[in-house]
Amino acid sequence: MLEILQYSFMQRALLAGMIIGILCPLIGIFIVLRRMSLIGDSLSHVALAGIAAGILTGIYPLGMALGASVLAALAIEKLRKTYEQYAELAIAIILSAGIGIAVVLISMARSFNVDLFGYLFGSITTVLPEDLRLIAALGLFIIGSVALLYKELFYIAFDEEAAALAGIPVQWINIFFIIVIAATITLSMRIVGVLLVSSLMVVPVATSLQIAGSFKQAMLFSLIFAELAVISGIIISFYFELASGGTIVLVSIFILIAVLLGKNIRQGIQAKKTVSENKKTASL
Amino acid sequence: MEKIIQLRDVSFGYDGNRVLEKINLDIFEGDYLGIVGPNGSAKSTLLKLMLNILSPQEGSIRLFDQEQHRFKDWGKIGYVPQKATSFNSSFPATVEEVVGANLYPLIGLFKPMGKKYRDKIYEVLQVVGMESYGKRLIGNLSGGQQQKVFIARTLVSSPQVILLDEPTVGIDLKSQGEFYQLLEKLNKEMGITIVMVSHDIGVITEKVSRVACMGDKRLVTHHSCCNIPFNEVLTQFYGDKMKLMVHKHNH
Repeated sequence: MLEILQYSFMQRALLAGMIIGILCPLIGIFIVLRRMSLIGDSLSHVALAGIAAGILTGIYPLGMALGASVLAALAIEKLRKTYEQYAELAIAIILSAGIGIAVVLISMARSFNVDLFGYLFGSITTVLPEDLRLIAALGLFIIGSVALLYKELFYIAFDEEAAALAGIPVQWINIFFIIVIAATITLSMRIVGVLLVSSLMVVPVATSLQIAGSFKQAMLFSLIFAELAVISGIIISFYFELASGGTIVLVSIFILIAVLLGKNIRQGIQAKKTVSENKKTASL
Repeated sequence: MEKIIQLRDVSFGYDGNRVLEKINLDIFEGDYLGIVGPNGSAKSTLLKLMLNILSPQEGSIRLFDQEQHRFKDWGKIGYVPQKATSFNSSFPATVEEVVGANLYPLIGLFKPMGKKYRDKIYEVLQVVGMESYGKRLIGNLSGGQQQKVFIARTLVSSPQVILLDEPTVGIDLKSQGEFYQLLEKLNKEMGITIVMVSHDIGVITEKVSRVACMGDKRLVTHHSCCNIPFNEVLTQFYGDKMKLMVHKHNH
């Protein structure tokens, strides 16, 4: 355990991971409950186009990715209104545009494949000090603002129309929220990779929905599951030299399966108890 | 009596097809108004116009004696939508969390919910008889119970008028009876004005004090439901083949 902390790149990876482990489920729970689960995939592909453009032009890639995904997020919000009855179409359009641009840019410069591999699948050895600074500053800002807007985001996720009628500034909060999604994806890319960012937003939430007895609990459990997955995933990937993104996501899937199994076993025991109690009452 | 909602020559259509033509309607303080009409007679559209979810293409709407676009005090107007349409039943929220949501605009952005507001939640849950369900998940309740929670959600911001859109669709008969009793209590004891849209003309006319009939893009109001020329109205709005059958059971 201590050996891990001797390396400064591991210290950075763990710190960045811990922030991302809060960010992803915090945003993810609202995404899942609003049935926008695919938005993460869509924006991460646009972010990949931003990374490719950054490497090609020599501008800080994470910055370019952040700009590209925020613009794409705003486009999704606009398209969501144009295709009101097919809100998921907006997500699909932006996904196509993102991957199209990314592939073209990648084919234009064939030399940066190694770097790109890290962005695609996540790499703990490549979290640079400036990446950590960006992740910490923007990450803490997002965590703070979501905590402050928690009630409003909850109401909009539960019933957007009623929230608007109750006088909540739904439109502004929606725009703010979608920008926050874009930023979260960009920040998480270094650790979990473009292809798996969305999983870290969705899987811990899916796990917590199995056992949550309230919205607060759903939030708390998804934070715990995500942190567990990120920290143990980073440690495992360090010792076995695996891609961190894949390892983290596999750990979170493992937690999901464990929770599902645990829930089934508990329900089975309860059902048996009820049957035997019923038998007892019947025989009396 | 104060006019709470006033519609003057309001017209509205979807994609050029007029569904409402020059509608005039006055809703007074303390009213218990039922809006009835066949499916597709734009009853829900009329409610959405009052709530500013849709805007009239012609005519004007006044709320509490103010032009609708100037009106800010939306807490005064409660809305209970059709249960099935706007609610995800697997949402992990407790009854307390759902009811509390309508307090958010009162509490204000960036502030947590204090004890004063928590007490208010249980006060209104008591009014609808659901105070022991505060910690239960909304998705685990029956349709009738969920609808009571949604009434509590509107009550928590102390509205003066509540608009309900087909509130009893998908709810069993016994719960419907309890639900109408609750509405009567809100209207008679708490003085809340109630406007209810329904396609069930038989039930609604027994409960409300005033009926508005919709159909063929128009609306006709009757000041007391006892003297509605039912068969005449039905033929006018529902077509020739419709007659109202009233029968009573002797228990």
